[in-house]
Amino acid sequence: MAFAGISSVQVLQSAMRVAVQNHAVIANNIANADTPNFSPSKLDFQGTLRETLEGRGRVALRKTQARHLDMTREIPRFEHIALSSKNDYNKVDLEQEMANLSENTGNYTIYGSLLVKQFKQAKDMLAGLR
Amino acid sequence: MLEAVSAREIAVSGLRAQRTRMNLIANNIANATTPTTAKGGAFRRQLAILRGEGVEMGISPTNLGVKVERVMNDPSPMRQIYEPGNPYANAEGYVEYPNVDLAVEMADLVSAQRAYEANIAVLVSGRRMSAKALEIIQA
Repeated sequence: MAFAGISSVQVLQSAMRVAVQNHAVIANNIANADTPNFSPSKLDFQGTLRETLEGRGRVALRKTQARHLDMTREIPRFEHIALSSKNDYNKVDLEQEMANLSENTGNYTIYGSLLVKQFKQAKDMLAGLR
Repeated sequence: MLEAVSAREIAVSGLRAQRTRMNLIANNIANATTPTTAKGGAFRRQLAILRGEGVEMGISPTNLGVKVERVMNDPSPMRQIYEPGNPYANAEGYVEYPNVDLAVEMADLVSAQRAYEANIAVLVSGRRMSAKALEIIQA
């Protein structure tokens, strides 16, 4: 159950962590649906992932000294969407946010189900040993 | 950085702000026909000014959510209605009524209600996510 040295449990764990962060970002956008001058934020996880997979993400820095800063840490990126629908300079699209919320909850549920499946498989294997 | 702050608190701050808006609208509607008397006490339409911050690098997560920054009085002119029989009428026969427009208040009420429901949806989805996380333990 491991690919390239990473176990699928670890992958699912980090995916769930991202979904929780995304949930907080969407919650903040919805809470500020009537705040003047507010622009919604977006956790651009999939874009960053795609860039990294295609090798055109961050330029890898070479560490020549042990005291150099560690650049392997993933920094979440946020982007602003430019659209306007109200006259108080609030740019929150409530329908879009609700759709994002629903999608994010669905993703989290899928990751959770997959994780449950992983543990079930491990348990069945252990039962087979007995 | 965002794990520390729960989406639940953000949604609750949204609920609180929208509830304040709805209370102010109720007060505006209730006082829509309170005339300015000789004792003064003119009622003015009140509205809540909300404040919140987007998620950015460098903003501490405790600042997330929405707050009612202040409640301000609407500075627009009062309604002058010709009612010479009214004891509160001025020399020209006009009575000063609050600058409350029922149509505006009803539209604001619908908008506040819709935003309130959206925050409830955040709470419901958060609960579904917690329930899913608990399922992993049961596996």
